[in-house]
Amino acid sequence: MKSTPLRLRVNGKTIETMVEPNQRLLDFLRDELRLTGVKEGCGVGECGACTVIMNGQAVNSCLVLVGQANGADVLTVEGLAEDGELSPLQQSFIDHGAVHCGFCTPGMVMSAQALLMKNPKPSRSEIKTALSGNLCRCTGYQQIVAAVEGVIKKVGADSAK
Amino acid sequence: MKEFDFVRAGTLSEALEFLAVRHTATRVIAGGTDLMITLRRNDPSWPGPGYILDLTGLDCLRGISREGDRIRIGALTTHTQLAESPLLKDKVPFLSAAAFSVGSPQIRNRGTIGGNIINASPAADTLPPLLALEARCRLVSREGERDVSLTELLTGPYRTSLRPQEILKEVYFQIPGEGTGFSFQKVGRRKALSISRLSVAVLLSLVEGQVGKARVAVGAALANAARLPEVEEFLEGRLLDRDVAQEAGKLAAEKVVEITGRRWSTPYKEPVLLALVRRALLAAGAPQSP
Repeated sequence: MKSTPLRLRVNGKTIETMVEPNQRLLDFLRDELRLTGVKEGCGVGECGACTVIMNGQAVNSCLVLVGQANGADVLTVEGLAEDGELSPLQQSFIDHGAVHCGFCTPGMVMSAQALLMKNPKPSRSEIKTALSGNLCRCTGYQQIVAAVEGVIKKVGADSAK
Repeated sequence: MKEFDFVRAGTLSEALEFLAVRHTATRVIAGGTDLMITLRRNDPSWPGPGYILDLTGLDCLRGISREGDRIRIGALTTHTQLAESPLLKDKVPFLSAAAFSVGSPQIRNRGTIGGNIINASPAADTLPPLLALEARCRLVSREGERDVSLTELLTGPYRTSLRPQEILKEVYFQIPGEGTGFSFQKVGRRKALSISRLSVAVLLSLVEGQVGKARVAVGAALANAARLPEVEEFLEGRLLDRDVAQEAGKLAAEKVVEITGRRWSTPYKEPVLLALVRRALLAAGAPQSP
């Protein structure tokens, strides 16, 4: 197995390195970059805990070979806060009690973030569709949907001020 | 995880050259939503591939376009792109609907139509509508291109007639005429992230209620997704009403059981297939069916 060159952007930082070719993007983010907000749940693309945003789209990082991320722009939950301030979406998860055990939270946040990047004013059913690839075993779905709805209203109200 | 070397193709000819030389040791990857799971499965009978050849950098294989009376779809086009394409939603809405029913947003953002075809799962969701459209596939190798119908390409569960040195380049079909009705129906264990237990795609042209052309294809019912010619023949020339739709459903279930034999799942699949075919026919036959 020959290690393979990798160049990509993660949370705004350009990274150039050599990687083992059979690593998943998930392994690279967690083990090499220590971005442990990216969680491994099922490892087969069913649970969404490992969701990151790659080139503007939510993907399961457990189903991406690290070499396939060459040239990509990757955003993880660690990249959302700015200057130590949580993003409005993250704050809304807290305000709505949308975090229970917390294991699904980064994936939920990233799926919601991907939706809002594409569609700043989604309907409730669009929110549910966007989160349909993320499982919460504490089953706190109501609060999670409410958190996403909350940030749309809040951002709308703030920009109207 | 299996061990392998990773090769990212920069151009199509580079990929074809690589396959021409090393096809026996190589697995091709696109969206990876199926292959990644196979690579991680602890299967001692398979040592894994020597090489993984990644096609996702080949933008020339991506995209949906209209060429005269045809639509062509590049093999790397994702399910999200299929589901959102205004052209497909307008001309062949059941293909967009089928693509939208795949997996989850994350899976649809990665999984490709080419992967769905070449992985050849009996339950692959884009296959019944593509079969109903009589889609053809363009296969390419270093030696040149050849076209085969999708029916010829699918040879069994997870098996195709694609040669090891070939890549699926694109799939194309004729745009159905105005007034054609479409429907895709699927039953899964839940709405999101569910593999089809059964699916049906129907394409119908109706003139004053009378069926001109009928195409009926089923997924997850047979060894691979397939058309049911006897059902199509039964429908053609008839006035479509509830009774005819019911009869067609019955015939579809009969034909499928004839091929598969009675299995543990038959008492479930038989009535469900009947109902899905009936529902698909009535939806496709309804005026301005979605």
